[in-house]
Formats: sequence, structure tokens, C-alpha cells
Amino acid sequence: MKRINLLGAALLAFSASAAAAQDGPPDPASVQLPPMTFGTDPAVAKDGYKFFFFHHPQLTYAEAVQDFAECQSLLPFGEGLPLPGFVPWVEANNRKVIQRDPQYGLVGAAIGAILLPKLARGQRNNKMRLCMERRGYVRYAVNEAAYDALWEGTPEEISAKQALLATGPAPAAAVQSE
Amino acid sequence: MIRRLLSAGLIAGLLALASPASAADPAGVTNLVAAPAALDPGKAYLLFESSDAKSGMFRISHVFLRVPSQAEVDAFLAAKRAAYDKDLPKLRKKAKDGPVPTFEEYGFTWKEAQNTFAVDLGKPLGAGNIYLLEVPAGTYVLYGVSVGTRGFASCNCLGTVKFEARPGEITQLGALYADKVHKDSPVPHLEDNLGEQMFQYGFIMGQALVPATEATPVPAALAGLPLVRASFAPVGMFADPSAPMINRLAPIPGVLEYDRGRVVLPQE
Repeated sequence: MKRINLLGAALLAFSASAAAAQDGPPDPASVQLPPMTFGTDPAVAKDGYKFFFFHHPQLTYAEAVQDFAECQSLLPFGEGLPLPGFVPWVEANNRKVIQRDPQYGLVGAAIGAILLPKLARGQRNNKMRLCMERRGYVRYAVNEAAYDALWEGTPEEISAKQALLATGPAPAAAVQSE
Repeated sequence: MIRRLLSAGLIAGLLALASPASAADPAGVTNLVAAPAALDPGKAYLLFESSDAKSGMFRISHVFLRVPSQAEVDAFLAAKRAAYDKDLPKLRKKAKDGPVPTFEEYGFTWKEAQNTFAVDLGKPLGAGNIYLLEVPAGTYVLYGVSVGTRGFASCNCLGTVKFEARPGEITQLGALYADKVHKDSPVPHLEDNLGEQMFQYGFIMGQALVPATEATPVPAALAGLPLVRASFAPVGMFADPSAPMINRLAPIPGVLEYDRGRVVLPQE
């Protein structure tokens, strides 16, 4: 029987969120989901490529928490690696967090304040899609406020909220995002 | 409009990183542009074919990681400890009333040794897209994709392969492919992109390997030199926050397989 090792060969450390999930997920009864508007609203459906949630009705809540925790652990983005460079490989490769404060004067700061959150959201969405969709999850459009609320809290809280939603009743009224 | 501006900004950022490699390569990697008369018994050699896709002016290349020795890791940790202790007063001051980064959280770039490099695709073995690299012996991981030789663009954090490169012999890898995959690519063997919607202000890079077989040709100029075909083993998920984007090496039947997105590793 093949063994599926999620951590690889003692490679770089996963974040605390993945480790926490291994201790057992939060009680789903304690998880509060935000109010939501699904893709039956044309405006919500139109922005479904930006604002969505993942769904996989064949999984248990605990399995989904583990998936979200693992994929979330790949979200941190720090200082770039200059090549050629040194990667310790067996040691947690924590690197300096990129300085997001704009350094381009008032105009630059104003533009940055608009653009940087969108950059961060796009990067997060891309990483989560690459990780989650290969695990069989599909996306459904949701309103922006609900999307933002799903990403608020500690990594454990985020995983719990999204896992509860992902394994809940199929959102029949929702329009699957493209 | 905003998406175009953002895309342009990210491209500019990647290109800024994509300057040519320095003349002195501290990673100990040399592209051989002509076949050697004999191999250095203290060096390993990697032989492979590569795709030649570009992003703007820069070739989309392959990033290799040599698994560091324990001595290298120990030296890295010692240097990191010294830097952390030195920076601690600044970190405390910057944190104000917030949490001070721990040693584990402390970002540190070590410049005394290098074990990770991008292939200079501008220096093939003769004409064409065959490359012969002289490298330190060791275990190598197909680590990800770069834009140029300096711009680390994407890690194979969702799964990849490793192989041994022994001293005094050429390790024949096969063919490597890499390109942007957030849109259709003419480069073969890459996984299907996940849709145009993936292009939300960032590149998605993909990489693939077709391992060498008995039928894979070896350049005639290398005839008579010790040569073995690489034996690949799967590597599971890992994190690298220095990578702007993540992806995985495309599945390789019998070598690198995924089960619900997770690398299937052989039973120990």
C-alpha cells in the first residue's frame, strides 16, 4: 500500500496552521459563517473569478480543514531568493516579509493603497486554486463582503470557516465561477 | 485597466530580478559549451535538453536545489543565529508593543554558500538546446522555475522529483520544459493551465520533465565519457516563502504521481 506523505522528506516546515489542524479541527458547531449572496445575483457571478469559495461535498469537515490548512501554509510570501542562493531545505525557510509600504511619494502611496491589496488577493487566489482544485474542489461565486469575511481571523479560524462551507450543502442556487 | 497596470508592474518586478548571472558562480556551476576531453573526478555533470520559452527578453529557466550537507546547514544556522542576535535590539524596537520575530521566523539570506541556481540557457553544449552543467556532486531537487538566471519565479512546492548526481560521471536527466501556463503555451508536456482567470496579477509558471530513456540520444561528442541515466524519486509538498508563486512538476507516470493533489511517495 502506498503511503501519502504530506510533509515530504522532512523538508521545509509547514506553518502553524497545518500543525494545528493535525491536533483536531475546531468544533464545527462553534464556527460562524458570514451572511452570503451567491452567484444567482448577476453582479456576484460576474466577479466570481475574484470572489469565490471552494466546495467539495464528498469530503468530511475534518478532511477539508486539513486541506485548507495545508494549502494556506503555502500562502506566506517573503523576501525573494536571490539566485544563486542558499536554501537550507531541512530548516524552516522563513524569509523577511516584503515591505509593502509604498515608497513612491503621495501619489505612489495612493496608487499603492489601491493596487497592493488586489495584488495580494490575486496571488492568494492563484495559490489556493493551484492547491485546492487539484484536490477536487470547485469554486462558487460569492459576494465580496462574504469573501473578505471568510479570510478574516487566525489561520485556524479561516480553515474552519471555509471547511464548514466547503462540506456543507451543495450551493444549488450558486453559479459556479468560471 | 487596473489589471493591465498591475500585470505590467509585476512583469517589471520580475525583469528587474532577471539580470545576467555573475561571472563568478559561487554555486559551483559551470555551463560547458564544448564537450570535455575527460571528466573531473571530483565534479558531477548534468546533461539535459531544455525548452527555450521566454518572458519578454529573458529565458524561462529551471531552478535546481542541491540538498545541503549537514555541515552547510549547521554553518547556515550558526550564521543566522549570529545575525539574529545582532538584529534583536532593532527587531524589538521595530515591534514596539507587538510580537518580536522568533529565531525561526527571522528572515535571513546567507551569502557564504549557494546550493540553489537557475540554469543559464544562453550557454548550450554546442548548437541547439542541449546543456551540460558541471556541478558539485550531491542530491538535486527540481526546485522550480525562474525568469532569467536571477529571478526565482515559482517553486515546485506542490510536488517534484529529486535525483543523485555522482562525481566523475554524467547524469542524463532527459528533457526539461518550462513556460508560463496561465495561458496556452506552445511548450509541450506542461500541465493544462487552470484557466484564463488564473491570471490575476501574477504569472503562473509550469515545469515538466520527460526522463531520459535508452532511446534518448547522447551527443556524439560525449561518447566514451561515463554516463548514467538519472533515477528520479518523488518529493512531497514543501513551503518556500521566497517564491512569488507555487506550482508542481507535471505528473510523470511511474515516477511522480499525485493522489487528490498530494504526491504519492513510496512506502518506506
